[in-house]
Amino acid sequence: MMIEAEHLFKRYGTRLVVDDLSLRVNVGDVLGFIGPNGAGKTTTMKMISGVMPPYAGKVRIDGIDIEAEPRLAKSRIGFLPENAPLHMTMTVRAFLAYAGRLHGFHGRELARRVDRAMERCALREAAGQEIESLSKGYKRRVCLAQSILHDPKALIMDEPTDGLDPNQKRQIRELILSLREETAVIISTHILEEVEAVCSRVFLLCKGKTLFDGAKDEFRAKADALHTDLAGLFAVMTEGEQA
Amino acid sequence: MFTIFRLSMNSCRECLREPVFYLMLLAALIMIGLFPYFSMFVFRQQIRLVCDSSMATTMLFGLFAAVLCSARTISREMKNGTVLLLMSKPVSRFAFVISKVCGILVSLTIFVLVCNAATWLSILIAKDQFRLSTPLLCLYFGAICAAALYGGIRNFLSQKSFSSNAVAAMAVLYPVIALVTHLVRERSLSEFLRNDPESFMAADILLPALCLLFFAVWIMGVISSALATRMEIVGNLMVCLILFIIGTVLHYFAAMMFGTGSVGALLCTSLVPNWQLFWMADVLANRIHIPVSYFIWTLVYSVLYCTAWIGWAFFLFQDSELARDTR
Repeated sequence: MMIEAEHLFKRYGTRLVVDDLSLRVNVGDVLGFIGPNGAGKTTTMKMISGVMPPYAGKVRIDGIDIEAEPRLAKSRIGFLPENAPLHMTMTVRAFLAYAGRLHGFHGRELARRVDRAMERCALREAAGQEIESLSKGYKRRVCLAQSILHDPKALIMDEPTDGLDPNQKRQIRELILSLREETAVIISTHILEEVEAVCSRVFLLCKGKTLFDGAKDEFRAKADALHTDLAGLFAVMTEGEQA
Repeated sequence: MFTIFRLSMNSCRECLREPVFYLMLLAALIMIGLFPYFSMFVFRQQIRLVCDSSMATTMLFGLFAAVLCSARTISREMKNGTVLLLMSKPVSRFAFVISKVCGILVSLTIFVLVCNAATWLSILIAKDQFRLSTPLLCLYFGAICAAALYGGIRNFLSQKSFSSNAVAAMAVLYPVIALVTHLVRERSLSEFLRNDPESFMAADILLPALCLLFFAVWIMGVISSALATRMEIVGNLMVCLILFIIGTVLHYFAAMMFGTGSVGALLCTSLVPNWQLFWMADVLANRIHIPVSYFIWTLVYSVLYCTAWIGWAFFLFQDSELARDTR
Protein backbone atom coordinates (compact mmCIF):
# COMPACT_ATOMS: atom_id res chain seq x y z
CA MET A 1 0.00 0.00 0.00
CA MET A 2 1.49 3.37 -1.00
CA ILE A 3 -0.35 5.69 1.39
CA GLU A 4 -1.68 4.41 4.69
CA ALA A 5 -3.18 6.51 7.44
CA GLU A 6 -4.40 4.76 10.57
CA HIS A 7 -6.59 6.26 13.26
CA LEU A 8 -5.49 9.85 12.79
CA PHE A 9 -6.58 12.42 15.32
CA LYS A 10 -5.79 16.13 15.35
CA ARG A 11 -6.72 18.82 17.85
CA TYR A 12 -6.36 22.60 17.61
CA GLY A 13 -6.47 23.51 21.29
CA THR A 14 -9.55 21.75 22.62
CA ARG A 15 -11.22 21.48 19.20
CA LEU A 16 -11.01 18.03 17.59
CA VAL A 17 -10.65 18.64 13.84
CA VAL A 18 -9.78 15.13 12.66
CA ASP A 19 -11.49 12.28 14.46
CA ASP A 20 -10.19 8.73 13.97
CA LEU A 21 -9.51 8.94 10.24
CA SER A 22 -8.09 5.95 8.40
CA LEU A 23 -7.45 5.63 4.68
CA ARG A 24 -5.44 3.56 2.22
CA VAL A 25 -4.46 4.52 -1.31
CA ASN A 26 -2.53 2.35 -3.74
CA VAL A 27 -0.74 3.06 -7.01
CA GLY A 28 -3.34 3.51 -9.74
CA ASP A 29 -5.89 5.01 -7.35
CA VAL A 30 -6.93 8.63 -7.47
CA LEU A 31 -8.71 9.35 -4.22
CA GLY A 32 -11.07 12.30 -4.20
CA PHE A 33 -10.97 13.73 -0.68
CA ILE A 34 -14.13 15.77 -0.38
CA GLY A 35 -15.98 17.60 2.34
CA PRO A 36 -17.50 20.96 3.18
CA ASN A 37 -15.35 23.89 4.32
CA GLY A 38 -13.83 23.26 7.74
CA ALA A 39 -14.23 19.48 7.43
CA GLY A 40 -10.54 18.88 8.18
CA LYS A 41 -9.39 18.13 4.62
CA THR A 42 -6.38 20.46 4.58
CA THR A 43 -5.32 19.39 8.08
CA THR A 44 -5.46 15.74 6.97
CA MET A 45 -3.43 16.56 3.84
CA LYS A 46 -0.81 18.24 6.01
CA MET A 47 -0.62 15.23 8.33
CA ILE A 48 -0.34 12.74 5.47
CA SER A 49 2.36 14.80 3.75
CA GLY A 50 4.40 14.97 6.98
CA VAL A 51 4.12 18.73 7.33
CA MET A 52 2.17 18.50 10.57
CA PRO A 53 2.39 15.72 13.15
CA PRO A 54 -0.89 14.04 14.11
CA TYR A 55 -2.10 14.18 17.70
CA ALA A 56 -2.45 10.40 17.48
CA GLY A 57 -2.27 7.80 14.75
CA LYS A 58 0.20 6.65 12.12
CA VAL A 59 0.97 7.61 8.54
CA ARG A 60 3.01 5.32 6.29
CA ILE A 61 4.24 6.14 2.81
CA ASP A 62 5.39 3.11 0.83
CA GLY A 63 5.53 1.26 4.15
CA ILE A 64 7.75 3.90 5.80
CA ASP A 65 6.49 5.48 9.01
CA ILE A 66 6.56 9.22 8.40
CA GLU A 67 7.26 10.06 12.04
CA ALA A 68 10.02 7.48 12.47
CA GLU A 69 11.79 8.20 9.16
CA PRO A 70 10.51 11.56 7.95
CA ARG A 71 13.27 12.27 5.41
CA LEU A 72 12.93 8.91 3.70
CA ALA A 73 9.14 9.04 3.70
CA LYS A 74 9.02 12.65 2.46
CA SER A 75 11.37 11.83 -0.41
CA ARG A 76 8.50 9.69 -1.78
CA ILE A 77 5.86 12.41 -1.42
CA GLY A 78 4.87 15.17 -3.79
CA PHE A 79 2.74 17.82 -2.11
CA LEU A 80 0.76 20.57 -3.77
CA PRO A 81 -0.51 22.88 -1.02
CA GLU A 82 -3.66 24.95 -1.29
CA ASN A 83 -3.34 28.41 -2.91
CA ALA A 84 0.01 27.52 -4.51
CA PRO A 85 2.34 29.28 -2.04
CA LEU A 86 5.64 30.05 -3.79
CA HIS A 87 8.75 32.16 -3.42
CA MET A 88 7.51 35.03 -5.53
CA THR A 89 10.83 36.74 -6.20
CA MET A 90 12.38 33.64 -7.81
CA THR A 91 12.15 32.78 -11.49
CA VAL A 92 10.31 29.58 -12.40
CA ARG A 93 13.50 27.73 -13.31
CA ALA A 94 15.34 28.94 -10.19
CA PHE A 95 12.48 27.88 -7.95
CA LEU A 96 12.23 24.41 -9.48
CA ALA A 97 16.01 24.01 -9.25
CA TYR A 98 15.82 25.03 -5.58
CA ALA A 99 13.07 22.46 -4.96
CA GLY A 100 15.12 19.83 -6.80
CA ARG A 101 18.23 20.55 -4.74
CA LEU A 102 16.23 20.03 -1.55
CA HIS A 103 15.50 16.54 -2.88
CA GLY A 104 19.24 16.01 -3.39
CA PHE A 105 19.50 16.41 -7.17
CA HIS A 106 22.50 18.18 -8.69
CA GLY A 107 24.09 18.98 -12.03
CA ARG A 108 22.72 17.37 -15.16
CA GLU A 109 20.22 15.24 -13.29
CA LEU A 110 18.75 18.36 -11.71
CA ALA A 111 18.61 20.21 -15.06
CA ARG A 112 16.96 17.19 -16.70
CA ARG A 113 14.31 16.94 -14.00
CA VAL A 114 13.60 20.68 -14.03
CA ASP A 115 13.22 20.60 -17.84
CA ARG A 116 10.94 17.58 -17.69
CA ALA A 117 8.75 19.05 -14.96
CA MET A 118 8.43 22.29 -16.94
CA GLU A 119 7.59 20.30 -20.05
CA ARG A 120 4.89 18.28 -18.29
CA CYS A 121 3.31 21.37 -16.76
CA ALA A 122 3.64 23.50 -19.91
CA LEU A 123 5.91 26.04 -18.25
CA ARG A 124 8.67 26.34 -20.86
CA GLU A 125 7.72 29.82 -22.03
CA ALA A 126 7.64 31.13 -18.45
CA ALA A 127 10.96 29.56 -17.37
CA GLY A 128 12.83 32.85 -16.99
CA GLN A 129 9.96 34.87 -15.53
CA GLU A 130 9.66 35.87 -11.90
CA ILE A 131 6.87 33.90 -10.24
CA GLU A 132 5.27 37.09 -8.96
CA SER A 133 4.59 38.22 -12.53
CA LEU A 134 2.76 34.99 -13.48
CA SER A 135 -1.00 34.47 -13.67
CA LYS A 136 -2.80 32.39 -11.06
CA GLY A 137 -2.96 29.41 -13.42
CA TYR A 138 0.77 29.53 -14.12
CA LYS A 139 1.56 29.82 -10.41
CA ARG A 140 -0.48 26.70 -9.75
CA ARG A 141 1.35 24.88 -12.51
CA VAL A 142 4.71 25.92 -11.02
CA CYS A 143 3.57 24.52 -7.70
CA LEU A 144 2.46 21.33 -9.42
CA ALA A 145 5.80 21.09 -11.23
CA GLN A 146 7.72 21.21 -7.93
CA SER A 147 5.52 18.42 -6.56
CA ILE A 148 6.23 16.00 -9.44
CA LEU A 149 9.86 16.97 -10.03
CA HIS A 150 11.26 14.00 -8.10
CA ASP A 151 8.80 11.38 -9.46
CA PRO A 152 6.97 10.87 -6.17
CA LYS A 153 5.22 7.61 -5.36
CA ALA A 154 2.53 9.45 -3.45
CA LEU A 155 1.07 12.69 -4.75
CA ILE A 156 -1.06 14.78 -2.42
CA MET A 157 -2.87 17.71 -3.96
CA ASP A 158 -4.93 20.29 -2.12
CA GLU A 159 -7.43 22.00 -4.47
CA PRO A 160 -5.25 21.47 -7.59
CA THR A 161 -7.56 23.19 -10.09
CA ASP A 162 -8.94 25.95 -7.89
CA GLY A 163 -8.98 29.23 -9.83
CA LEU A 164 -7.94 27.78 -13.18
CA ASP A 165 -9.70 28.39 -16.48
CA PRO A 166 -11.44 25.42 -18.21
CA ASN A 167 -8.48 24.72 -20.51
CA GLN A 168 -6.01 24.76 -17.65
CA LYS A 169 -8.31 22.51 -15.60
CA ARG A 170 -8.43 20.02 -18.46
CA GLN A 171 -4.62 20.05 -18.79
CA ILE A 172 -4.11 19.49 -15.06
CA ARG A 173 -6.65 16.67 -15.04
CA GLU A 174 -4.94 14.99 -17.98
CA LEU A 175 -1.66 15.27 -16.14
CA ILE A 176 -3.16 13.72 -13.00
CA LEU A 177 -4.57 10.83 -15.03
CA SER A 178 -1.18 10.28 -16.68
CA LEU A 179 0.52 10.26 -13.28
CA ARG A 180 -1.70 7.64 -11.67
CA GLU A 181 0.03 4.82 -13.60
CA GLU A 182 3.00 5.06 -11.22
CA THR A 183 1.63 7.11 -8.35
CA ALA A 184 -0.96 6.99 -5.62
CA VAL A 185 -2.85 10.28 -5.83
CA ILE A 186 -5.00 12.06 -3.25
CA ILE A 187 -6.92 15.12 -4.37
CA SER A 188 -8.55 17.26 -1.74
CA THR A 189 -11.35 19.26 -3.28
CA HIS A 190 -14.85 20.52 -2.83
CA ILE A 191 -15.48 20.55 -6.58
CA LEU A 192 -17.52 17.43 -7.30
CA GLU A 193 -17.01 17.86 -11.03
CA GLU A 194 -13.34 17.17 -10.32
CA VAL A 195 -14.18 13.92 -8.54
CA GLU A 196 -16.31 12.90 -11.47
CA ALA A 197 -13.52 13.72 -13.96
CA VAL A 198 -10.42 12.16 -12.42
CA CYS A 199 -11.07 10.16 -9.26
CA SER A 200 -11.49 6.43 -8.95
CA ARG A 201 -12.39 6.57 -5.25
CA VAL A 202 -14.22 8.96 -2.97
CA PHE A 203 -13.51 9.81 0.66
CA LEU A 204 -16.11 12.06 2.28
CA LEU A 205 -15.18 13.90 5.45
CA CYS A 206 -17.33 16.15 7.61
CA LYS A 207 -16.37 17.70 10.94
CA GLY A 208 -13.31 15.46 10.97
CA LYS A 209 -15.36 12.25 10.71
CA THR A 210 -15.39 9.80 7.83
CA LEU A 211 -18.81 9.64 6.16
CA PHE A 212 -17.90 7.62 3.10
CA ASP A 213 -14.86 5.70 1.84
CA GLY A 214 -15.29 3.68 -1.32
CA ALA A 215 -15.25 3.49 -5.10
CA LYS A 216 -16.63 6.37 -7.11
CA ASP A 217 -19.17 4.01 -8.68
CA GLU A 218 -20.47 3.08 -5.21
CA PHE A 219 -20.83 6.77 -4.37
CA ARG A 220 -22.68 7.36 -7.63
CA ALA A 221 -24.89 4.32 -6.99
CA LYS A 222 -25.78 5.78 -3.62
CA ALA A 223 -26.75 9.02 -5.30
CA ASP A 224 -28.82 7.14 -7.88
CA ALA A 225 -30.64 5.28 -5.11
CA LEU A 226 -31.69 8.61 -3.66
CA HIS A 227 -32.65 9.87 -7.16
CA THR A 228 -30.14 12.69 -6.99
CA ASP A 229 -26.74 13.62 -8.37
CA LEU A 230 -23.37 13.69 -6.56
CA ALA A 231 -23.95 17.23 -5.32
CA GLY A 232 -27.33 16.20 -3.94
CA LEU A 233 -25.87 13.19 -2.13
CA PHE A 234 -23.03 15.37 -0.80
CA ALA A 235 -25.59 17.81 0.59
CA VAL A 236 -27.74 15.08 2.14
CA MET A 237 -24.78 13.40 3.84
CA THR A 238 -22.95 16.49 5.06
CA GLU A 239 -25.95 18.62 6.04
CA GLY A 240 -27.32 15.73 8.07
CA GLU A 241 -24.00 15.45 9.86
CA GLN A 242 -23.61 19.20 10.35
CA ALA A 243 -27.14 19.47 11.78
CA MET B 1 24.26 19.80 6.10
CA PHE B 2 24.03 20.57 2.40
CA THR B 3 20.27 21.14 2.76
CA ILE B 4 20.86 23.58 5.61
CA PHE B 5 23.41 25.43 3.48
CA ARG B 6 20.96 25.62 0.55
CA LEU B 7 18.13 26.83 2.73
CA SER B 8 20.36 29.35 4.50
CA MET B 9 21.56 30.82 1.22
CA ASN B 10 17.99 31.06 0.04
CA SER B 11 16.88 32.77 3.28
CA CYS B 12 19.77 35.23 2.98
CA ARG B 13 18.85 35.99 -0.63
CA GLU B 14 15.23 36.52 0.41
CA CYS B 15 16.32 38.99 3.08
CA LEU B 16 18.51 40.90 0.66
CA ARG B 17 15.75 40.97 -1.94
CA GLU B 18 13.42 42.72 0.49
CA PRO B 19 13.10 46.40 -0.45
CA VAL B 20 12.78 47.20 3.26
CA PHE B 21 16.27 45.79 3.89
CA TYR B 22 17.71 48.08 1.23
CA LEU B 23 15.76 51.05 2.59
CA MET B 24 16.97 50.41 6.13
CA LEU B 25 20.57 50.19 4.95
CA LEU B 26 20.18 53.27 2.77
CA ALA B 27 18.68 55.29 5.64
CA ALA B 28 21.47 54.15 7.99
CA LEU B 29 24.16 55.08 5.44
CA ILE B 30 22.66 58.50 4.75
CA MET B 31 22.47 59.22 8.48
CA ILE B 32 26.03 58.04 9.11
CA GLY B 33 27.20 60.11 6.15
CA LEU B 34 25.51 63.23 7.49
CA PHE B 35 26.85 63.00 11.04
CA PRO B 36 30.08 64.84 10.14
CA TYR B 37 27.89 67.79 9.05
CA PHE B 38 25.93 67.75 12.30
CA SER B 39 29.13 67.55 14.30
CA MET B 40 30.25 70.93 12.96
CA PHE B 41 27.77 72.52 15.35
CA VAL B 42 29.69 71.32 18.38
CA PHE B 43 32.92 72.57 19.94
CA ARG B 44 35.57 69.84 20.05
CA GLN B 45 34.80 66.15 20.45
CA GLN B 46 33.69 66.12 16.82
CA ILE B 47 35.04 62.63 16.15
CA ARG B 48 33.44 61.33 19.33
CA LEU B 49 30.05 62.60 18.24
CA VAL B 50 30.39 61.06 14.77
CA CYS B 51 31.62 57.80 16.23
CA ASP B 52 28.91 57.52 18.92
CA SER B 53 26.11 58.52 16.57
CA SER B 54 27.26 56.16 13.82
CA MET B 55 27.56 53.22 16.22
CA ALA B 56 24.14 53.97 17.70
CA THR B 57 22.67 54.14 14.18
CA THR B 58 24.24 50.80 13.29
CA MET B 59 22.92 49.20 16.47
CA LEU B 60 19.38 50.59 16.23
CA PHE B 61 18.97 50.09 12.50
CA GLY B 62 20.53 46.64 12.89
CA LEU B 63 17.89 45.86 15.49
CA PHE B 64 15.10 46.98 13.17
CA ALA B 65 16.66 45.15 10.23
CA ALA B 66 16.85 41.98 12.36
CA VAL B 67 13.16 42.14 13.23
CA LEU B 68 12.08 42.99 9.69
CA CYS B 69 14.23 40.24 8.16
CA SER B 70 12.94 37.58 10.51
CA ALA B 71 9.35 38.76 10.20
CA ARG B 72 9.54 38.76 6.41
CA THR B 73 11.35 35.45 6.02
CA ILE B 74 9.86 33.43 8.90
CA SER B 75 6.43 34.76 9.91
CA ARG B 76 5.38 35.53 6.35
CA GLU B 77 6.58 32.15 5.15
CA MET B 78 4.62 30.48 7.93
CA LYS B 79 1.56 32.57 7.24
CA ASN B 80 1.36 32.35 3.46
CA GLY B 81 2.18 28.66 3.28
CA THR B 82 5.57 28.52 1.53
CA VAL B 83 6.76 26.74 4.66
CA LEU B 84 4.49 23.86 3.61
CA LEU B 85 6.51 23.42 0.45
CA LEU B 86 9.72 23.20 2.44
CA MET B 87 8.35 20.96 5.17
CA SER B 88 6.91 18.53 2.63
CA LYS B 89 10.43 18.04 1.24
CA PRO B 90 13.04 15.94 3.06
CA VAL B 91 13.73 18.88 5.40
CA SER B 92 13.40 18.59 9.18
CA ARG B 93 11.96 21.33 11.36
CA PHE B 94 15.36 21.67 13.01
CA ALA B 95 17.03 22.22 9.62
CA PHE B 96 14.36 24.77 8.76
CA VAL B 97 14.92 26.78 11.96
CA ILE B 98 18.72 26.62 11.79
CA SER B 99 18.83 27.60 8.13
CA LYS B 100 16.45 30.51 8.61
CA VAL B 101 18.50 31.81 11.52
CA CYS B 102 21.77 31.37 9.61
CA GLY B 103 20.36 33.12 6.54
CA ILE B 104 19.15 36.04 8.64
CA LEU B 105 22.51 36.26 10.45
CA VAL B 106 24.42 36.36 7.15
CA SER B 107 22.25 39.20 5.86
CA LEU B 108 22.63 41.07 9.17
CA THR B 109 26.38 40.59 8.97
CA ILE B 110 26.34 42.28 5.57
CA PHE B 111 24.23 45.08 7.05
CA VAL B 112 26.61 45.73 9.95
CA LEU B 113 29.70 45.34 7.73
CA VAL B 114 28.49 48.09 5.40
CA CYS B 115 27.49 50.34 8.33
CA ASN B 116 30.84 49.80 10.05
CA ALA B 117 32.76 50.63 6.88
CA ALA B 118 30.57 53.72 6.55
CA THR B 119 31.36 54.67 10.16
CA TRP B 120 35.08 54.51 9.43
CA LEU B 121 34.64 56.69 6.35
CA SER B 122 32.43 59.10 8.27
CA ILE B 123 35.15 59.56 10.91
CA LEU B 124 37.64 60.34 8.15
CA ILE B 125 35.19 62.81 6.57
CA ALA B 126 34.95 64.68 9.88
CA LYS B 127 38.46 66.08 9.52
CA ASP B 128 38.35 68.51 12.41
CA GLN B 129 35.83 70.81 14.01
CA PHE B 130 35.88 73.39 11.16
CA ARG B 131 36.38 71.29 8.05
CA LEU B 132 35.04 68.25 6.25
CA SER B 133 36.91 66.11 3.78
CA THR B 134 34.87 67.02 0.71
CA PRO B 135 36.46 64.52 -1.74
CA LEU B 136 35.79 61.68 0.68
CA LEU B 137 32.28 62.96 1.31
CA CYS B 138 31.63 62.88 -2.45
CA LEU B 139 33.07 59.37 -2.61
CA TYR B 140 30.83 58.31 0.28
CA PHE B 141 27.57 59.50 -1.27
CA GLY B 142 28.79 58.57 -4.75
CA ALA B 143 29.02 54.97 -3.57
CA ILE B 144 25.32 55.05 -2.61
CA CYS B 145 24.43 56.39 -6.07
CA ALA B 146 26.71 53.89 -7.81
CA ALA B 147 25.12 51.00 -5.89
CA ALA B 148 21.64 52.21 -6.80
CA LEU B 149 22.68 52.60 -10.42
CA TYR B 150 24.12 49.09 -10.50
CA GLY B 151 20.93 47.67 -8.97
CA GLY B 152 18.83 49.63 -11.47
CA ILE B 153 20.84 48.46 -14.47
CA ARG B 154 20.72 44.81 -13.34
CA ASN B 155 17.00 45.15 -12.76
CA PHE B 156 16.38 46.76 -16.13
CA LEU B 157 18.57 44.49 -18.22
CA SER B 158 18.21 41.10 -16.50
CA GLN B 159 15.08 41.50 -14.35
CA LYS B 160 17.22 40.79 -11.26
CA SER B 161 16.16 42.16 -7.90
CA PHE B 162 17.08 45.82 -7.52
CA SER B 163 17.41 45.59 -3.74
CA SER B 164 19.73 42.59 -3.58
CA ASN B 165 22.00 43.95 -6.33
CA ALA B 166 22.17 47.40 -4.79
CA VAL B 167 22.95 45.89 -1.37
CA ALA B 168 25.60 43.62 -2.93
CA ALA B 169 27.21 46.65 -4.57
CA MET B 170 27.22 48.51 -1.25
CA ALA B 171 28.69 45.47 0.49
CA VAL B 172 31.61 45.58 -1.94
CA LEU B 173 32.03 49.34 -2.37
CA TYR B 174 32.02 50.52 1.25
CA PRO B 175 34.53 48.05 2.71
CA VAL B 176 36.80 48.53 -0.33
CA ILE B 177 36.68 52.34 -0.09
CA ALA B 178 37.23 52.14 3.69
CA LEU B 179 40.20 49.82 3.24
CA VAL B 180 41.78 51.89 0.47
CA THR B 181 41.37 55.17 2.39
CA HIS B 182 42.81 53.52 5.48
CA LEU B 183 45.88 52.35 3.57
CA VAL B 184 46.33 55.72 1.86
CA ARG B 185 46.01 57.49 5.21
CA GLU B 186 48.38 55.09 6.98
CA ARG B 187 51.05 55.72 4.39
CA SER B 188 50.37 59.49 4.48
CA LEU B 189 49.87 59.47 0.74
CA SER B 190 47.11 62.00 0.75
CA GLU B 191 46.67 65.24 2.62
CA PHE B 192 42.90 65.24 2.55
CA LEU B 193 42.69 62.03 4.58
CA ARG B 194 44.71 63.34 7.52
CA ASN B 195 42.82 64.11 10.68
CA ASP B 196 43.58 66.61 13.36
CA PRO B 197 46.01 64.80 15.76
CA GLU B 198 43.63 65.60 18.63
CA SER B 199 40.76 63.78 17.04
CA PHE B 200 42.83 60.96 15.60
CA MET B 201 41.05 57.60 15.92
CA ALA B 202 43.40 54.66 15.39
CA ALA B 203 41.94 51.72 13.51
CA ASP B 204 43.14 49.23 16.11
CA ILE B 205 41.03 51.03 18.73
CA LEU B 206 37.98 51.51 16.57
CA LEU B 207 37.77 48.13 14.83
CA PRO B 208 37.22 45.91 17.92
CA ALA B 209 34.48 48.30 19.08
CA LEU B 210 32.80 48.09 15.69
CA CYS B 211 33.16 44.30 15.66
CA LEU B 212 31.25 44.10 18.95
CA LEU B 213 28.25 45.56 17.14
CA PHE B 214 28.11 42.40 15.01
CA PHE B 215 27.53 40.36 18.17
CA ALA B 216 24.75 42.67 19.38
CA VAL B 217 22.90 42.55 16.07
CA TRP B 218 23.37 38.77 15.80
CA ILE B 219 21.80 38.30 19.22
CA MET B 220 18.88 40.50 18.23
CA GLY B 221 18.57 38.58 14.95
CA VAL B 222 18.34 35.24 16.76
CA ILE B 223 15.84 36.59 19.32
CA SER B 224 13.61 38.06 16.64
CA SER B 225 13.86 34.84 14.58
CA ALA B 226 12.69 32.81 17.57
CA LEU B 227 9.82 35.21 18.19
CA ALA B 228 8.91 35.23 14.48
CA THR B 229 7.92 31.56 14.74
CA ARG B 230 4.95 32.66 16.84
CA MET B 231 4.54 36.42 16.36
CA GLU B 232 3.70 38.84 13.62
CA ILE B 233 5.96 41.78 12.82
CA VAL B 234 4.40 44.32 15.23
CA GLY B 235 4.45 42.00 18.24
CA ASN B 236 7.96 40.90 17.38
CA LEU B 237 9.17 44.47 17.10
CA MET B 238 7.55 45.45 20.38
CA VAL B 239 9.08 42.53 22.30
CA CYS B 240 12.50 43.16 20.76
CA LEU B 241 12.34 46.86 21.62
CA ILE B 242 11.32 46.05 25.19
CA LEU B 243 14.19 43.55 25.45
CA PHE B 244 16.53 46.18 24.06
CA ILE B 245 15.45 48.83 26.55
CA ILE B 246 15.41 46.44 29.51
CA GLY B 247 18.74 44.91 28.45
CA THR B 248 20.31 48.35 28.33
CA VAL B 249 19.38 49.33 31.90
CA LEU B 250 18.63 46.11 33.76
CA HIS B 251 22.20 45.21 34.56
CA TYR B 252 22.86 48.59 36.08
CA PHE B 253 19.88 48.22 38.40
CA ALA B 254 20.64 44.54 39.04
CA ALA B 255 24.18 45.44 40.09
CA MET B 256 22.78 48.15 42.37
CA MET B 257 20.22 45.81 43.92
CA PHE B 258 22.16 42.55 44.16
CA GLY B 259 25.77 43.75 43.93
CA THR B 260 28.20 43.37 41.04
CA GLY B 261 28.97 39.73 40.24
CA SER B 262 26.22 38.41 42.52
CA VAL B 263 23.93 35.53 41.55
CA GLY B 264 21.03 37.95 41.03
CA ALA B 265 23.03 40.15 38.68
CA LEU B 266 24.29 37.06 36.85
CA LEU B 267 20.74 35.78 36.45
CA CYS B 268 19.68 39.09 34.92
CA THR B 269 22.60 38.91 32.45
CA SER B 270 21.57 35.38 31.53
CA LEU B 271 17.90 36.17 30.98
CA VAL B 272 18.12 39.48 29.14
CA PRO B 273 21.09 40.30 26.93
CA ASN B 274 23.34 42.97 28.35
CA TRP B 275 23.63 45.40 25.45
CA GLN B 276 26.13 47.50 27.40
CA LEU B 277 28.69 44.77 26.78
CA PHE B 278 28.71 45.68 23.11
CA TRP B 279 28.63 49.44 23.53
CA MET B 280 32.18 50.78 23.66
CA ALA B 281 31.60 54.51 23.16
CA ASP B 282 33.28 55.50 26.42
CA VAL B 283 36.26 53.31 25.68
CA LEU B 284 36.63 54.94 22.27
CA ALA B 285 36.26 58.43 23.74
CA ASN B 286 39.24 57.73 26.01
CA ARG B 287 41.18 56.04 23.18
CA ILE B 288 41.59 52.85 25.20
CA HIS B 289 42.41 49.53 23.53
CA ILE B 290 39.78 46.83 24.08
CA PRO B 291 41.57 43.81 25.57
CA VAL B 292 41.51 40.64 23.47
CA SER B 293 40.23 38.69 26.48
CA TYR B 294 37.19 41.00 26.70
CA PHE B 295 36.54 40.52 22.98
CA ILE B 296 36.72 36.73 23.31
CA TRP B 297 34.58 36.72 26.43
CA THR B 298 31.90 38.78 24.66
CA LEU B 299 32.05 36.44 21.66
CA VAL B 300 31.52 33.42 23.94
CA TYR B 301 28.63 35.22 25.67
CA SER B 302 27.04 35.98 22.28
CA VAL B 303 27.47 32.42 21.01
CA LEU B 304 25.94 30.98 24.19
CA TYR B 305 23.10 33.44 24.07
CA CYS B 306 22.40 32.76 20.39
CA THR B 307 22.51 28.99 21.00
CA ALA B 308 19.99 29.29 23.83
CA TRP B 309 17.62 31.32 21.66
CA ILE B 310 18.00 28.92 18.71
CA GLY B 311 16.86 26.23 21.15
CA TRP B 312 13.87 28.42 22.01
CA ALA B 313 13.19 29.01 18.31
CA PHE B 314 13.15 25.27 17.69
CA PHE B 315 10.90 24.67 20.70
CA LEU B 316 8.46 27.39 19.61
CA PHE B 317 8.44 26.19 15.99
CA GLN B 318 7.98 22.53 16.93
CA ASP B 319 4.26 22.78 17.63
CA SER B 320 3.42 25.97 15.81
CA GLU B 321 0.60 25.84 13.32
CA LEU B 322 1.92 26.22 9.78
CA ALA B 323 0.24 28.17 6.99
CA ARG B 324 -2.57 29.65 9.04
CA ASP B 325 -3.80 31.75 6.12
CA THR B 326 -4.27 28.77 3.86
CA ARG B 327 -6.76 27.07 6.12
